[in-house]
Amino acid sequence: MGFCVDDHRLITDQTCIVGSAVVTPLGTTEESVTSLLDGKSAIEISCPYGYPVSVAPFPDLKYQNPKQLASLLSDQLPDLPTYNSDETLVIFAAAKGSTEAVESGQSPENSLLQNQGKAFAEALGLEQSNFLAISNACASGIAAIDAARDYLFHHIYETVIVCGFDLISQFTVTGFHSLSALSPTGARPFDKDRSGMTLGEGAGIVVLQQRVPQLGEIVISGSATTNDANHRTGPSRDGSGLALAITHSLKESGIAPEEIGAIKCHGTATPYNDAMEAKALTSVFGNNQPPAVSFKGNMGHLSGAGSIVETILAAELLKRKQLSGTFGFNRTDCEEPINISASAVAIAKPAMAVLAAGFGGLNACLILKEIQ
Amino acid sequence: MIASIGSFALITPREFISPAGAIVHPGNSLADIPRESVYSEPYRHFGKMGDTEKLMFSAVSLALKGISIPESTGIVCAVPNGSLTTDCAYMQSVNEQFPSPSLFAATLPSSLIAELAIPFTLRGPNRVLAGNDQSAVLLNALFLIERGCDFVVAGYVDPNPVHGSAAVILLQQTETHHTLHLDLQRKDSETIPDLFGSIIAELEGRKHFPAIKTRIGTFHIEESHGTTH
Repeated sequence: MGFCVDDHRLITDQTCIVGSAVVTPLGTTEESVTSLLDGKSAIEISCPYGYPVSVAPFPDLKYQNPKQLASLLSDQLPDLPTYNSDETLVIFAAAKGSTEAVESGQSPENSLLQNQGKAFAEALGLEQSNFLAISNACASGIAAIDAARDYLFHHIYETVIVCGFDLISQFTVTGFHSLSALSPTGARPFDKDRSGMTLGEGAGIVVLQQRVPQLGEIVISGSATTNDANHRTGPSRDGSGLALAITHSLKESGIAPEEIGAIKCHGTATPYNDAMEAKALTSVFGNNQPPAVSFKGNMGHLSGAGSIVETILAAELLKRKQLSGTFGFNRTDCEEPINISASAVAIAKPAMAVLAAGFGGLNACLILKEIQ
Repeated sequence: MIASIGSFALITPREFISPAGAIVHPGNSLADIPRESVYSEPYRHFGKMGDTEKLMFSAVSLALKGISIPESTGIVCAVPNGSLTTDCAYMQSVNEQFPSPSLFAATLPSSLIAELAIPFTLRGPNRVLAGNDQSAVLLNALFLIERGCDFVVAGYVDPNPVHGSAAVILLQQTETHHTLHLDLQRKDSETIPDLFGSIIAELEGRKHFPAIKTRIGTFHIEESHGTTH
């Protein structure tokens, strides 16, 4: 492949996470991290819209209101109003616009992703900021962070805020059920007895700036997106596209695979995804792999916003030097020597890879690093 | 940031414009694009694509006619209407009979990426921008060039049969000093409604294409020879 990352990115300034917040089926950021480390799951066996599938809904129905969600996020980020200026770019990342607007036959404009994003940015109190919407399917969050790093690197904005949310809807439940992708009993990523994915709900916001980081700070030191060019909905069978995204991200970070302390997998708990990821990880990390986790047994698949939420939670775990266990995982049927954490383990090295993949052959990876 | 222009294409309800010249649209609408107008070999999946994907695939085919680009080529694309038509068709299938898995699989603004990546074997970075901020498309394409991507396919697609269009510019790494200067505003989606159309109008009829160079400021296009910023 001719695509390679220039070494000029290996400079003193880094993309720093200066603030973040999530709302997940497990609660706020602090509640979610605690629940992950305690091995709790918010997945319910339910029958949404008449379909016997598992879901991971918000703990309170009122969270399904985007304004309420924005309020729950901004409550965790008291400094957020200080970024409401022309020096800030808000990137809204989601796989889809308002499915509720499509379901109820509202004006088409209401369903467009960019309009939903602008309304969300306003609800967050960021109406004076500039706006962009990125939609790379279920890899949207990392793709948006990857773009944010470019805007910051070139000093086009002082601050870039990446945010997004996803809700469970009739549209998504019927759609994924039609693809036979939903588990009736709950997602069990990488487990040999898995039976499919679980849809979840979530929202996340991360505030990024380019500057010299302080000791102990978590930075995003590399990121990349790639395409499998293989299938419209399924992942590539050999994992080469995701492996390429990991390789590019590591190169941009200036660190070797053996310096990675943990991996946050996409881990949807569908057989094709899990097998693809196992191949990608083995291709990059070989036989001696760092511990890897999927959060989707705890809180379901949060779609396009998922990789914002999961990046934030991964950064919180890296700070604590603790990797949570993969809920529902006992024993894998993957042939590759992947090292899925069944229960919480220590993160021994100060860097973590965060992975995502989506329909259309989209792959994404970013590297979190603690400054030491 | 600087990149050469390798090729381009613009498809409107009235005409097709590419380095080969401008021709009157031989079909009746954007949804009716004769295959032989844009590519020589049949692509069997073409008939299964939605309107957005067909139009973008056609524009990219037109731009890449006779050009070989590497697997590492990136794609940056703006989709003002997302997957709206397919969303409504899918919801109709839910309400009227049973949910269609094939329609659901195409209900993403990013669905068109697979329709470009698979037939042209493009495995580089991808960014799909929801909206019609064409200067953001160009800027993000230049970001990818600057990060080491040798080629990037940049474009937008609006399949509206009356006033829609699709445009593609192929960018590539360059050492040339023969440039088009594009000073991109930050909040430019309102002030540059047809950036790609403006650039393609500048390129039409040329035998050799200049490079694109950007800085953030007030938008204008001007050509210079042998100078750099």
